[in-house]
Amino acid sequence: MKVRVLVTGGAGFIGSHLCDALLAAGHSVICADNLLTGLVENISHLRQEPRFEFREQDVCRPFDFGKVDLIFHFASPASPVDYLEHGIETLQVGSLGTIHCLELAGKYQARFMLASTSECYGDPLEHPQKETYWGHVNPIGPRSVYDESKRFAEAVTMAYRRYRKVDTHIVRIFNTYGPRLQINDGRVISNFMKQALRGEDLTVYGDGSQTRSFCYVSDEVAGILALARSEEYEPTNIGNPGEFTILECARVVLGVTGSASGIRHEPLPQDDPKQRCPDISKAKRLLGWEPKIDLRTGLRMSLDYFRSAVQASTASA
Amino acid sequence: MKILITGGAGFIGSHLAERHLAMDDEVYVIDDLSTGSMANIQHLKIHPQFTYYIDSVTNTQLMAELVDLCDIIYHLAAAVGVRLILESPVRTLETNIRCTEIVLSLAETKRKRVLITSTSEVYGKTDQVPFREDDDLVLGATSKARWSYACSKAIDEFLAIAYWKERRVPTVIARLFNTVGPRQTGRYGMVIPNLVTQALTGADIRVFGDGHQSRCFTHVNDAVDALVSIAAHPDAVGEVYNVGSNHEITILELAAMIREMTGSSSRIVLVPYATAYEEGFEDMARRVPDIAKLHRLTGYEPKISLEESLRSIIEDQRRRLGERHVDSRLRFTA
Repeated sequence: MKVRVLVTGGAGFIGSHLCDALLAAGHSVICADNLLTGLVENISHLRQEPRFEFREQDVCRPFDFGKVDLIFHFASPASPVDYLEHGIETLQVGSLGTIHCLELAGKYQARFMLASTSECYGDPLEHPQKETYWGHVNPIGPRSVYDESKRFAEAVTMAYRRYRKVDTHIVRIFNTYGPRLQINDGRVISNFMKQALRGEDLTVYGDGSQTRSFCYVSDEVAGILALARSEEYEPTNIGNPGEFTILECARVVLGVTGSASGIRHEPLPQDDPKQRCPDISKAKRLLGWEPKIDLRTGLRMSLDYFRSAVQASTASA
Repeated sequence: MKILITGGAGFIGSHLAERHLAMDDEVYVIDDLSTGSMANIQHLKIHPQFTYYIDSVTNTQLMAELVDLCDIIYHLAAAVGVRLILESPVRTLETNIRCTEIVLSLAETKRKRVLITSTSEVYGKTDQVPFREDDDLVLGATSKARWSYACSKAIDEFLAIAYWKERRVPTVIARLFNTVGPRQTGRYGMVIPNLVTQALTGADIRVFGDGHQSRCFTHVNDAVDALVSIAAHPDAVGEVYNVGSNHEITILELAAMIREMTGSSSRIVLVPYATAYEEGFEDMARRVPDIAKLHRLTGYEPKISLEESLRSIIEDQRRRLGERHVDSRLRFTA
């Protein structure tokens, strides 16, 4: 069935890919974004698409674009650089923004999906993280603006299911990369790609033995859509469990870019988590979904994007 | 780079668009054609890096997208020209202040570079020439509509500086002094296009007042040089710059020069201000910019002489009058 879908944060990295996938499936999409961290450039290829509509809208203020059948609430600053700069806005969009979307879902009896995050697990004491793990979060630390915003968003989502019978879903998204990942978001992949393409040394904090896992954006979106079609309403991890040490990751980037850059070690910052890796056995079992694209392939598919983004950033600097 | 020009179908805006296209930038123009005209950007429409929207800056949806897309925003959209101000003061005030507010508040999200164009009019009635950027502004009474333009532009300047100081939006202000050149229309009270048209059509060359008031005219290419050089300059943020030439000429001398250069046999007649505009109309005797501040920043000096400017304007008007002539004949036979 073709439906009318609202994607908040639709001009963001994952949101814009979600818009693409929904349009490709034949649906109509309203993309709402206040462009705080989203970019019009991410959706400018959709300008001529008659089933696509962009609305500059802060979802922290009440809004209503008419009847929708499905709401993806993906609006929020999501990289540490962004949410630390926009702490209050991050808390507002997780709380007020989520409530406004849930109200709308209730009004139109639309299905609702919350984009949550692996950050709900905080600095986890359990590896890999299963959905049943309650997390280890400092409620008053600087990162709490994001972690607690998303934890509240999950709480209010479950409450609207329990008290108002809204049809809700929660996806916990882990580290995702691919085209449109902003090159200045301070994450490992964007930093490494930027440095490699500029011919600068790759900065590795500490000895580089801390691990990360990375999910290519098309895998992530496929998982999100599979979950949205399912009847599972409890939080579900969607990510790639393939674990890389930072050092391994640096070597893959150098290989893919063919860069002659070296590796430079710098002291480890205090809040750097040692390890974060999703346990996706639930998604596999319930949805029959698992990621297909490994890091090397995903980076190769992102190379053109990173090249032009790095070029554009040097041109305007 | 991506450049947004509000009022980009206007006289100065279209020249600025042309310049940035020549610099291989992508240019986005928004203009509601209230004083701008499609004819000004007709020749740019085929350029692959040129995109235009016939819309108002008050369409915040569209503006939000454009501001987000672009690296530098030139805000030129405004109700300009003395005649327009006297005829529609409400529109002047609303357009000039509201649009600037919209541009600045949208630029705040990602702290985009904004150049706000202001005007030598803000110096008002002061007789302390040359005008320096930090001089006092001497404006007339609020009952004199003429000053609403200067005042609205002064508010724009306050807003731009406040957005820099309080919200860290990198803004820069250019006070333009009598900019002239091809495509400028006399419809809104600009002196040179009017005098040139009168000279070319053999009508009386109408000089207001006693003609001893003087002005300094800058060729639009020189003005565009200055705008481009300060728009992205790191040390220009939060600053105000006079943009103009300090070569002074009285309007009577100007009229004589135009009459001679066009080979016109028109009479030069003096028209009292009260007849030309309204009872009690106030004009400034002299208006000369001090351009040392801009010179210190970028080494800027205007390059095009008044004579060259006039030649290019006369040529442009001759061509356009010719076209209009052909047009009316076509209409007649049809």
